[in-house]
Amino acid sequence: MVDRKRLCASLGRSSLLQVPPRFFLPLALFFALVPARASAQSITLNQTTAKRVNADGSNAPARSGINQFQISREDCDLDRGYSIPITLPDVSAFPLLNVEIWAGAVDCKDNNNRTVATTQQCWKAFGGNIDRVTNPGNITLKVRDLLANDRTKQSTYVGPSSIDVCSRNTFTNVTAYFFYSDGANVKGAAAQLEFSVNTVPPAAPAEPAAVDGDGAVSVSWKPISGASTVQGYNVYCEVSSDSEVSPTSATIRPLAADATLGEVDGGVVSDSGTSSGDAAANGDASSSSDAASDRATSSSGGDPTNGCSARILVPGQPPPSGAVLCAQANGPQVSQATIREVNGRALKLGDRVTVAIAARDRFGSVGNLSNLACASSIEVTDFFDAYRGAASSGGAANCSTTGKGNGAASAVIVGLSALCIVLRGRRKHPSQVAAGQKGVGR
Amino acid sequence: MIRRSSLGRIASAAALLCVAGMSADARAQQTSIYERDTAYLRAKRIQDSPQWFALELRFAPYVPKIDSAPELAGKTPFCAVYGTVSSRGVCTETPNPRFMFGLEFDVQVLKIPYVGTLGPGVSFSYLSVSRPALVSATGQPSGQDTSIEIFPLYGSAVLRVDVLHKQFGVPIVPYAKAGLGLGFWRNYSPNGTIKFNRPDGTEQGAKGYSFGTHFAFGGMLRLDFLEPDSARTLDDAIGINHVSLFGEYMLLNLNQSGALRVGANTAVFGVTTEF
Repeated sequence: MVDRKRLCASLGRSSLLQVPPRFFLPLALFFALVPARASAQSITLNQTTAKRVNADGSNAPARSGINQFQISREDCDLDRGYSIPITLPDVSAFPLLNVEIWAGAVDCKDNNNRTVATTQQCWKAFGGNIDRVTNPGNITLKVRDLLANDRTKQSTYVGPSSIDVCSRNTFTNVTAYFFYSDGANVKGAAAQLEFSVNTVPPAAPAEPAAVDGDGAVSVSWKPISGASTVQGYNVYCEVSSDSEVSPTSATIRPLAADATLGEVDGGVVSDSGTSSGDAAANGDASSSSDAASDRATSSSGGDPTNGCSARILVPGQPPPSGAVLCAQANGPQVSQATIREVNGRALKLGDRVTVAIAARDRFGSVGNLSNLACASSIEVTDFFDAYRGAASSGGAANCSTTGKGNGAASAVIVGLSALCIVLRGRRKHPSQVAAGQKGVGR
Repeated sequence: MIRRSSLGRIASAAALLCVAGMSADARAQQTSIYERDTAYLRAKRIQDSPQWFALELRFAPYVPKIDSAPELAGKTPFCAVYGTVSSRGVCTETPNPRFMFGLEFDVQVLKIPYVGTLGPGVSFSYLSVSRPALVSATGQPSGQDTSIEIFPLYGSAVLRVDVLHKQFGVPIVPYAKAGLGLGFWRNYSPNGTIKFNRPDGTEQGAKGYSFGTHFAFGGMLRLDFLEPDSARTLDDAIGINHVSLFGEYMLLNLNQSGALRVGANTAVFGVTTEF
């Protein structure tokens, strides 16, 4: 067997012109055979140490139970990539060739899929140069490059820098091929790495609604049904205080169909406005889902008449990069969230919050935003406020909280304690004990 | 043919014997149950373990009588927040009953011959009422709940008349309770206990208590008769004398003047264990 390295070394020390004629035939055979041998050694990829990385090269968040070679919409939106260790054991066998990386859903080793304009179905997934050394280290394949041209013709190439790469909803597999090429033909054996792609985002939740609260805004929506990949919902917020409210958003919101204006009578709310349902009809005081349906909603799902407006949240579009995530609800059937703070600042009275909801799937893909809903942090009348207002004098209600009855309560407790002690003493009476021992106790 | 007839006769005879055997076995079993019951009743009178305590697991629909306070002069704030009132302020739909659960522990210290047991009992219960608070400016429900939690307590004398069961085998035990009641309460929102300003300007939490009386009457159905053997075993093994279902009507009148009336008159159901 020819020792290729030693032969190459000897070739390197001598000029080809100095080679004696008797070596021409062996050299010709050598150059004819080496590529064939190289094809058996191929380019190698270390998939086990490959990493999914952020745009800045840092490690991307781990995803439980998901193959790391699964490409999500979020990966594309955030310009993530894959850092892949590559080794070129036969780099010296292809002295004038570069390693190329192509991607496609078909066999990209086939020239027809790669270089013939009329039949091209693959695209270059790596524009950089790979060092021609045995261990060039890690190369980073960008997700957007991998998804750059699933439209199959060069004439419709979209380009990796365009957001359109991500917004095209695809659910196919893409394979990246690594091989030496002379510009037209594949030389040697190709290594390949398969990626599964799911950039189809969940649908936008319907019927978003927001209701006013005291230092809080409650948001609800209709969960997406039949979408097994939905993992939860993101609520994005914009806050404006009263002074910042635009004329549009200051429009008085229409009342829900089943709501009527209440009256305030001497501090007592004498008309609650609704009569349907009861949050705790079954004794479940924490049943907020029923309660939510019991409230007058302030949104009509993006209807301009609901008076909701936002600066950057656009219904039907993906959440923009500057959108503030103010709540996350985990679970496919969760349908509500409460906003108490936005960007780390607690809501104040008068703050008006506009929200839009987007579903996210288990691959991390975040769907488009729902219609807008909005509500304000306002003053509410709690039960005790209503009670104090209704009492003939404020003092009547106050008495119950001042400890006026402490003496009586203490007397009761002391009395009961004394009674227990007395009774315990009676229980230990010898006659009782004897009666018990005789088995005639009751 | 002959062989088939013989087999048929043998099968018929076997079937008759089987039926006859089953009938005899059934009769024997009935006799056995009767004898066993007799033996159980005989043994029960002699071998019952001492009985000193009763523990009740209590469940009830509960609507506090908050709006009955005379200080309210007919206004119904509880109904306004947790039920429905008309535009004139009249309660048109009373708040739905809330689920109350609790425990009562009795000491059956006095055994009155041919009557039953008498002793003190204490009880602790809990319930919560919750609904969206009303927007101050409009009266519409807001996105924030306003809730009341109530802890009804009482200490009462409990008389259980078990002579019917002991002397005549009727598994019914009427009983009555009378004593003092105490109800702690708290009004809270997701942000915590509601705060309010007193006339002197100090801030105070919306919580307190009310004091009053407690009366109840009802009956227990002792379940021993369903499974006498199991009842016997239960007593022998862990000293539980009786397990009963009960129903009672409770009058918890926490009508302390000026206080939030968190008592209620309601039916209570549950399970009693005497041991």
